[in-house]
Amino acid sequence: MTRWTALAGPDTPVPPGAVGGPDLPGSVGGTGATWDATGDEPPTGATEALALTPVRSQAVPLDGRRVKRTLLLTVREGTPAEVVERFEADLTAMPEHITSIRGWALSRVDQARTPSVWTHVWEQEFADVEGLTGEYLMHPYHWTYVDRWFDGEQPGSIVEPRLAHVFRWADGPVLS
Amino acid sequence: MTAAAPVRVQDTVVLAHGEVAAWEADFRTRYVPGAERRGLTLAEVWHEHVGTADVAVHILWTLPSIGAFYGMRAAAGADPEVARFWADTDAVAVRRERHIAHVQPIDAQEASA
Repeated sequence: MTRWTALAGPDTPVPPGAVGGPDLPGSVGGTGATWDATGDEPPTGATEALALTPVRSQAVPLDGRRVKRTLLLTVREGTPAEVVERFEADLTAMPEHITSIRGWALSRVDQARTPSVWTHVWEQEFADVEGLTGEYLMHPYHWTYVDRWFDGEQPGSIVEPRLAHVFRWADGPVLS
Repeated sequence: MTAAAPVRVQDTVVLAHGEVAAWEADFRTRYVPGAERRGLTLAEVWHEHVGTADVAVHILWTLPSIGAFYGMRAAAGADPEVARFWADTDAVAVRRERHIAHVQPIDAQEASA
């Protein structure tokens, strides 16, 4: 069974089998709403649906509503595989430092099923918006270390400038 | 969190000693004005000989907050001249590094404030 993440229009009905909702203020690069689904086929009606190949994930119990954040990114073409793996390791170490991250999942986009400019999908759940806009962004592990992969002024950066950083409320677990 | 300027950015550019003067002139005319508009404050520049022929130019910047760091990053990403400057630098430099750091208190009184 394949897990999918999808960008959608804000008024497009969430199809059966998917969960989703409007992107919250502060989201950038999306198309108004984000959906998550599991199944053999992509959710219908999406602007862009991405089939996910898992890299690493952890389910963390969290009751009730949560903020589901999705980051779509593009690793520069030609980046050596061992460098990509170090980048992935640095991303997936974020929960070891940033306690506001609850469930999380790093995936590569399955280019055979859903050819896309995006190469990776980095997802987290937070108890509230402040967990994302506060501790997650402000933690030194993020901005003094992980951000160097994204910073075009860093000689070792590998992530293209265009990102989709979108987040929404979810009524229950998405990354479980 | 201490200090009026809790974020430090340190650039280190290693150049052949004959390239240093020209690169620094280029740095001051092409890079510094835009950097200051993006919120960076140029604090110090110092030289270190790192071999028989090479000199490391160390550049220290400060930023007033983590929020200012993210603002600086966004502004730099939107300015193609920033990427051009660093591409030109990388064409002449032996190597280059940038380190981002969070200022820490240096005494107990400051730490407990």
